[in-house]
Amino acid sequence: MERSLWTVGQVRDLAGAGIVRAGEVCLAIESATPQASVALLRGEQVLASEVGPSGQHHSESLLPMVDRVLSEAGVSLSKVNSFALSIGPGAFTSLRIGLATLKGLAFGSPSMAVGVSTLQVLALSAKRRGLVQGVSPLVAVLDARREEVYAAAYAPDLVSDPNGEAILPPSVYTADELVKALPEGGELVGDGVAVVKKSLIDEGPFSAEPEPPSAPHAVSVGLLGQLLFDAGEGVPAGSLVPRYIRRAEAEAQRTASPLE
Amino acid sequence: MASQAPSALVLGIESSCDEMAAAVVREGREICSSVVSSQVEVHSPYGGVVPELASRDHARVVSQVAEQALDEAGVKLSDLAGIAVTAGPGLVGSLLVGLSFAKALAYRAELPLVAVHHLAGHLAAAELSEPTLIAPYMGLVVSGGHTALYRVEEEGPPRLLGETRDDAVGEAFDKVAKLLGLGFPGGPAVSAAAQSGNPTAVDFPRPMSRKAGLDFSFSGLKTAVALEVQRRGGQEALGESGIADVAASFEAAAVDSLVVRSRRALKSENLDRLAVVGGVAANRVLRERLEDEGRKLQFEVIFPPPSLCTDNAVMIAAAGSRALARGERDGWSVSAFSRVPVGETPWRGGAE
Repeated sequence: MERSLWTVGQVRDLAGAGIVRAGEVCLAIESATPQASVALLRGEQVLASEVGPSGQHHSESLLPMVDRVLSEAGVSLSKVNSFALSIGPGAFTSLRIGLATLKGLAFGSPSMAVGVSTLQVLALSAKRRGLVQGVSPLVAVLDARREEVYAAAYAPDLVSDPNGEAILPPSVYTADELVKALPEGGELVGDGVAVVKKSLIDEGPFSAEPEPPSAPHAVSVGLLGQLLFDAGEGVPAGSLVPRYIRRAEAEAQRTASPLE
Repeated sequence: MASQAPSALVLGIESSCDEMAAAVVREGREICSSVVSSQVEVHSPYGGVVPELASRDHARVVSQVAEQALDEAGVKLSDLAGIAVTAGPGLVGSLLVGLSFAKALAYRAELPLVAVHHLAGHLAAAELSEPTLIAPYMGLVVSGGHTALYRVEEEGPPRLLGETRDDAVGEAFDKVAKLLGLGFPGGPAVSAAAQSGNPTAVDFPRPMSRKAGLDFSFSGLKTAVALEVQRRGGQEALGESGIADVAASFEAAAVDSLVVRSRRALKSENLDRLAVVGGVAANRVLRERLEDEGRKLQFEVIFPPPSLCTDNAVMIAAAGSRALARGERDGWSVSAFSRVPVGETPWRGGAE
């Protein structure tokens, strides 16, 4: 990896600015979606990872998963140098379980944390699964209920670059809004496909990945997260906040503005 | 793991409603620090607690609140003997923030974790503030989420004698404050308005006071206030003195209902001490009425200081200290529960 080619001086300059140094271990958590996962990475090397049982509440499964992943890799929590979290959009309560868990794990330690867009995590997880065509924009869609999806679109070659610009920024969209925003279509991935299938695929210019739909995975959280650390995006874990996109219902009504 | 001596330092975390709190308590009795992050400004535009906004604010501040509690106590994580956290009852979304954080923190610091019942915490606050208060005694829990009478036993969990069948009394104060345009939180707002009012101006119903038993009901009273406001032409037509009269009459009726049940419970259980806990315990009229009754009927009333009545983490740390000393432990898969009878520990079902 490029990181390992840095000079000692460069590494020293970058240390303390929230930048991961070569050989450091990153604990990554995905809890924004129904299937939580945890991964431990050193650069691109996955030391251990686990996908949680679907249906079980994240509050019951997440910390035991962290414990098993660390044990399997033979790494103690005190040796973890950075924390990466799938920061949203997603289910509000699920997001907060991951966030509060991460804040507890990182409490009082000098390790920094970073939040990664759940939609980009989904796009990268789909690409890593190897079933996407990768010629048109990759459109990550998560079921946001009320016949809407959380969506973002990425150029196929920029899916793994968290610092690159998305073709369509993460937000909440109806199927009609997606067609308007991406008239040329794109390749849909994620559990939001079922929500927009009729107007986007059956009657529109979009295609979809083969079933079952991809889900965001903690390994992708770790890969993207470490690149964000390299770019100096690390912050103290205590200051992380989820990217909900949607406001709380009562706040949306009061302010007549549904989005954050 | 061996049982901890009660001389140990315990960090308590509480997030069951609209307050994120952390506290360090020594020997289950000495308060080393108590931090409460209030959300009054978050919820005041809505006239009541908005659960999603409460959870969002908890998630934002949880680390800072815990850090401040440790700093103010002058202790490090490694000085602690354990961590206690509220697992229910309460708003699940809110509970899960404090619980997920506390579990991960206990895991990180390799400390024993114990999940605490929110109401057991409130009752522990009474014993913390009044060392002579020893079971058996009567506990009246009155807050925005709870209205219940417990017999607190020397051993075993407190026994529920009666509870509200609908709204909690604090919830009724919030709703009446909204009806009268008095702001949030409703308890202090209604009491302030009531000070200049006539408590006998409106003869509001005393719900269930003629019925046997020890249960409460406040939704009928709230409806009666709504109808009275409507009958008199609404908030504006009432004017300041009309609002004061309605507020005072409502407060008198609500307090009456609490006093009648407490008196009845003390008599039927043959107890002579009553500990009043929860946010509504700060209500001046309730204090005066119960103290009067106590003098007349010769029972002692214990009110913890207001800082221990409203939601706080000292009470969770205090209750947790005792649980840890008894050797109680919870595992990494413990979850939160919105409704839990006191004395039950459904979170231990999924424990290791």
